[in-house]
Amino acid sequence: MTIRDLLAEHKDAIIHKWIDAMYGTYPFDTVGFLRSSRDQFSNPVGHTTAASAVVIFDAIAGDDVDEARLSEAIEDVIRIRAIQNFSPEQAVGVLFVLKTVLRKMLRAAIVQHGLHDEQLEVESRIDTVALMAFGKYAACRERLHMMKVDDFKRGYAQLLRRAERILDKPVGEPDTQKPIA
Amino acid sequence: MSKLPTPDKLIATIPAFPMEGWMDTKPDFKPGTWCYPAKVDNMKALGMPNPHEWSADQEDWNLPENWEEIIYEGLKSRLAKHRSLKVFMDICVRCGACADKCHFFIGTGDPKNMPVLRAELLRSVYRRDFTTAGKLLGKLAGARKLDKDVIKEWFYYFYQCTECRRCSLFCPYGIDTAEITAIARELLHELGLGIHWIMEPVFNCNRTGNHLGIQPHAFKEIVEFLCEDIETVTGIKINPPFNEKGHEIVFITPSGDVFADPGIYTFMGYLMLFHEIGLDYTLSTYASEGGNFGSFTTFDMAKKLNAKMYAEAERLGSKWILGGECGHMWRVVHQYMDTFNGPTPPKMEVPRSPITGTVFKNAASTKMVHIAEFTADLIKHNKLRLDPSRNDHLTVTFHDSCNPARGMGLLDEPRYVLQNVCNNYVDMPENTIREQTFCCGGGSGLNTDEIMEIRMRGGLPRGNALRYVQQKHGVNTMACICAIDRATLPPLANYWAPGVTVYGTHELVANALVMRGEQKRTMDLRQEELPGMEDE
Repeated sequence: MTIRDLLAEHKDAIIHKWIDAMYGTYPFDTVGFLRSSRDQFSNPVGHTTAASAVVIFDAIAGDDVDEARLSEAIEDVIRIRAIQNFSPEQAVGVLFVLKTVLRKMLRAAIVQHGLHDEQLEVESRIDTVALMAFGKYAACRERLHMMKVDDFKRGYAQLLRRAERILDKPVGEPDTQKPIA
Repeated sequence: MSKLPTPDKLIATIPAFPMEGWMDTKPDFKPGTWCYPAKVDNMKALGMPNPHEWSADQEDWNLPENWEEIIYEGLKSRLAKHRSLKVFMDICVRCGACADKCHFFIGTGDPKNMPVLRAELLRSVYRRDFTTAGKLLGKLAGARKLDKDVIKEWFYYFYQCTECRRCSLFCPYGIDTAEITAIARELLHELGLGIHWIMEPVFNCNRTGNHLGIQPHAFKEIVEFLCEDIETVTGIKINPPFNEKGHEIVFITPSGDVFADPGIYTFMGYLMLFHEIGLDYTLSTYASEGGNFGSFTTFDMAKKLNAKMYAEAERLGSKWILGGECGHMWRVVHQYMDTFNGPTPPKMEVPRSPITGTVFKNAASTKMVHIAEFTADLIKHNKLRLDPSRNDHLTVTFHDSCNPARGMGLLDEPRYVLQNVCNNYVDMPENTIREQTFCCGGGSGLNTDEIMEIRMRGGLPRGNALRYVQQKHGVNTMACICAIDRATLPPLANYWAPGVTVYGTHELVANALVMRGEQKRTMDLRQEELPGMEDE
């Protein structure tokens, strides 16, 4: 018995519990919708969370990983949480909840078969995924701020162009070069 | 000193079961979730009631002393004026058909963004003051006392509704939540609570005719810049007429098409099209705004700002109005203009295309035609020479803007145009387009950058569908027929489907348009090289 066997045996139940925990970060009255609506366009948050969970689970289980696919799965779920009503810890921290789910569900079997070292390896892989999620979260937030700047530039594009023609220089340059004191 | 919490505790946002009912939960005015308040000077200049300093993140919003009376009287008069409001307040059976149809609910996961519950924010106050059951049974009958927190809640949630009316499509009673939002916003305005992003354009529009407050000489100069760009791309010099009397048509479009990227390319497209077909038209530097942010303020303000269209048509002696690509402009024109500003000036006539002879009977009363219909008619009658291969590097999808799609049923004309000027066209999934289209997340005056997060939440369902066709069909272009879309979709695409570029439909028309006397096209209107057509 290895931890991979255990994970394979309990895969559906673990993913189910983990997805439920992620849905649980949304208000009570919304969880039913996230859980029950299957259409990927009517319920993009529920669908994306569930689809990404499967890819991430396979990666932490120790199977060979398609890195691009894993990266995309993490990004899909983090891109949503990065702009929702969550703190950074809440947005990214759902990855760590997978540890809690695994410990609760597999504890007896891990003790019985002495799989503690393997458990640590699995948990390290969860840490790796969480670090990747941290990077994605930061990138999403940075993009959000750049979008505000770009929004402004687009909105005033032709006025800036006119100002540059009148001033005969790029907008933003000082009128005179002041000597450095 | 304390022990560190576990990750589970650290991320626990909410208890598994809510500790209090929805009436007792309060919104959290975090930065990025609320719009900046309108300037007092602007509110005063417009004659808006109770202008005052306030900010959503402050405890005290400095409401006028008799604020409860103002709301009571305001609601009472509107119930008397709008029979629809009274019906919408009474008729909802809370079946929940609308609940999961709102882009803001889908994107935020906040139950108060379910249209039924958002409307309930107003309905609960209505019940207490205007229904017997509510007066007698109070909370048991879904009624609640009006307090200052309710006002804050209205502000929070009625500015998280873009009046897109997707929910109305699914309501078995046809309750128009957009109208409920519009009236709730009117009531907030009675208390002096407006937002800067809406009231500044209203103020500018009232004074100069357009949202940015651009005066006629600057407006003309900027259009001339665009004509220089057209000459660079096509070798053809266009001199559009400004404020000239005696032309058959006056052309009115949102000013965003003149001032903002990427709307300017759409505007260049209009000018090229009109030049090519020899249209007898004039631009107006007074009616220099098709958009109407007054419609996000009060019905009276919408009426006031809209009046310039007919005033200019009359002054210039034009027979009819051709309108550019816009969203809410067309909701106002199609659904309110007749009542607001009709009947039309006596010399105006039912629009008839001077090129094809088609009479636009659908515009018999407003005398105003949408350019997508006009161009579709030109193409149908084979009046344009088109080379769609110039757009071959683009795989195009179309975002139905909520107002033209749901507000006036303009579904097939833009697709017909696009499919004639582009060889690669793909629709997004069925339940995200046409009548069921998802909002851009920034309509109804919410396209301001301080709430970019909220916009991205609202834009999630649209972004999700866009990403799907990007991955499945290689879509790299999203076309639209709305100036607000041209402002809101670039960041939406940047966030949810990076790599997709936003175009106005008439920009793509003009890229494909073969003009008499043009030089070999090697660039598109953005002056980017056309693949396969580079200069040899």
